[in-house]
Amino acid sequence: MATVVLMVLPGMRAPFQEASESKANQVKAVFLYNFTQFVVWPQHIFDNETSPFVIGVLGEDTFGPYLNEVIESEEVDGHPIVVRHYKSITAGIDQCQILFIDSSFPAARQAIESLKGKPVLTVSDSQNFMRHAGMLRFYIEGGKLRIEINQEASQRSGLEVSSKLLRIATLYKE
Amino acid sequence: MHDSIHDVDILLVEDNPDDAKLVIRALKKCNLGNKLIHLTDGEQALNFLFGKGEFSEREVEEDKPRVILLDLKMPKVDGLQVLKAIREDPRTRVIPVVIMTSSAEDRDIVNTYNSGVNAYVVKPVGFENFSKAVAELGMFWLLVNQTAK
Amino acid sequence: MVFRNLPIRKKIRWIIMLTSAAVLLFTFLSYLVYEVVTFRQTYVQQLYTLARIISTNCTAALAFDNPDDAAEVLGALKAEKHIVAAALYDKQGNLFSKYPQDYSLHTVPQDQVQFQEDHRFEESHLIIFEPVVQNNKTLGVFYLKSDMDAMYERISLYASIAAAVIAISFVVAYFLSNRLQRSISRPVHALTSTAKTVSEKKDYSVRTTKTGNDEIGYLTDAFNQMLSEIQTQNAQIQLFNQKLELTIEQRTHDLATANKELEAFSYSVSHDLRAPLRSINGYSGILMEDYGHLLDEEGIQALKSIMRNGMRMGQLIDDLLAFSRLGKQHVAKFNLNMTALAKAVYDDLKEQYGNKSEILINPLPEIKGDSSMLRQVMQNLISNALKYSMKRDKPVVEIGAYRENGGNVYYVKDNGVGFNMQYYDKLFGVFQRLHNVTDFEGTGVGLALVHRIITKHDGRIWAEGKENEGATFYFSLPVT
Repeated sequence: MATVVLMVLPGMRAPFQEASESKANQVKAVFLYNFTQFVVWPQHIFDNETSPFVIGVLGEDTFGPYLNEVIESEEVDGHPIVVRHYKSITAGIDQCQILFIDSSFPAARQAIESLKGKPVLTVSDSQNFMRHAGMLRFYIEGGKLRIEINQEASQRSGLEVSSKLLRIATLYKE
Repeated sequence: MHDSIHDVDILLVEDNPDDAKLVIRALKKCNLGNKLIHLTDGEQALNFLFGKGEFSEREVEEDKPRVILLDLKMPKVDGLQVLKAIREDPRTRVIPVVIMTSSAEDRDIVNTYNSGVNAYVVKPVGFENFSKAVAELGMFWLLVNQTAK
Repeated sequence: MVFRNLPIRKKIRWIIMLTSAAVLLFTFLSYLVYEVVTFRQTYVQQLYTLARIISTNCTAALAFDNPDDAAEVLGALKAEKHIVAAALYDKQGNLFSKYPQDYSLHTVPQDQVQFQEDHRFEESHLIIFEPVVQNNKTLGVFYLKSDMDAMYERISLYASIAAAVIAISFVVAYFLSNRLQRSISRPVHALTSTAKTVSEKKDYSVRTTKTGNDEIGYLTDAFNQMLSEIQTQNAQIQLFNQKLELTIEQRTHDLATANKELEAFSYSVSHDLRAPLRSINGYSGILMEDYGHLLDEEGIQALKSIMRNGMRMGQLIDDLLAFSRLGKQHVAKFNLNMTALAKAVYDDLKEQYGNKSEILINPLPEIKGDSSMLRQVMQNLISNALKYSMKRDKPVVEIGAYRENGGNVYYVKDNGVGFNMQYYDKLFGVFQRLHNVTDFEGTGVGLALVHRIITKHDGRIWAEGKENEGATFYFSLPVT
């Protein structure tokens, strides 16, 4: 277990400082990985057993090196995790299992539209994300990073969010 | 029977004639047996002393023997009874009585002294001793001893 | 109150009660041990289950850094009153959440946090570590601490039930044993009281009633039989005693008669036997004195033989009478100067034996005894010594004494003809002589007389001798 990548970083318990943007991004990277443990994807999404589990980042890459550090040599049900960066809505984004849409990306709504009915967990820290039928949203409350979930949206895409995750998240009603 | 009954020195009461003869012989040897009367049993002795029976004419008070030699074991009345009778009667009480007998039984000696005998002599078996003892006896009672009237 | 002195009924009661109490107590104790062991196992399992449920519910809180949620989950432990403390630690062992919220005392130091599933009992508390795992990923560890009050409550409940049951069974055992012990103690008591009657009143006619065919019944039978036998034997003994008394009375009477006859016999012996002897001697003497000159030498010798034997017979009669008289004679004991006695006896005798012996009289100790009897003893022994040594060239007679075994031993020793030890048995018998009358005159009564006197004094007489070398006669007399 010693080889397992740190998922809970030191200092996380400290009040979240807006000034330390990199710290917040670091936490976000960990959370992104942790979603792989609390969300169940349909069986058929992988072409074969060695197909990678893809975490996509759409728009500006705010994670820097953190995300790669988090997922390094990790896998989901035997599928190695890889990170892919997209600058625009391309055909490849529907190959992702998790797609993080940066708040600076202008066409978040279109991106979600294009993934409609596909088992891709859409995540963002944009304020209006839920209104565009996004599934998961990060937000800050009391200096801590919180999660908001649109359960109906994830269900429509065939994703099953663990009740444990639902417990700690804020539920968004359409 | 006895011609000279007066002036009697010795009265010998002895049932055994052999013993009596030995005594008389021994006394005569030293001239003491001249005035001796020999009676052969106790009854006779009492009659003689108290003037009864065959001796009824006798003057008892006047003619007392100076000593009585008395055998113990005799038929009819024995020596002890004779002695008691002598000592009970005031007429004869003062007469000296010497017991001459064969036995030295303690009870005989005690009984006769209790009844007031003056001497108790056991007759020796041996001839010489016997003669000697009788002679000494006669000598003492007739010549040495003083009797009451 | 010592147990062994208690009456049997109390003993039996105590035995029953203590045994049942001990059995119950032991049973309860074993159940208690079993209960404690199983309770602990069960409780550990229960607590593990609880810990797993909590830890499963805390995975998301840990994964998404949500202590509030964790606190909420842990807050559910309020329903479990035995849970003293709980805490959630993250992957690094840092405290993430705790229960109760204000519980500050018991947080585990970081280096003691365990990530393996484990439990331990510590100061009457059960502590459990349960790793928080999501999809094989360890996210942290859950710490749970419970008191063992539940177990103690159970034990105390158990103990009170046990105490109550033991107390009740004690009472039941008391009444049961009270009834049951009678079958043993009653017959024993009956036996005891019978035995008491027998030993106190000597009444052997009493019997115990038998109550059953057990050992006590057998004992009762044996006891009754024994009493019967004693009764029979007593009767026999009594009968025997009566017979014996009758016999003794008869014998005493016979003995008295025999004694009287013997007395009469010895009286006539002394009187009637001597009278003819006196005549024999007397008339032999007259014959010798008056008619001796008419006899030739042979006639004289014949007459002398008659006289000598007559004398001897007289001596025999005298000695025999003295011997038989001794039987009924009372021993009058006074302090006696034995030295003076020996000297006086010797002075009386020396003329008779020719005055030629050397006599040595050692100082003799005083003794309590009958003077005339002991004079006879000395007379016989000294005259014997003089007589049997007379034919020596230098006759020597020694008289002495020594102390032995708390008594005085006196002895008279001579260097005369002595005697053969082979004939020792005849030495002290009446009319027994070891020498010829022609050599040494005597009747054979002297030593028998001496023996009788010494025996009457509770003493002992014995002798040593050797033919032609002399003899020593000893007699011992007790000092007190």
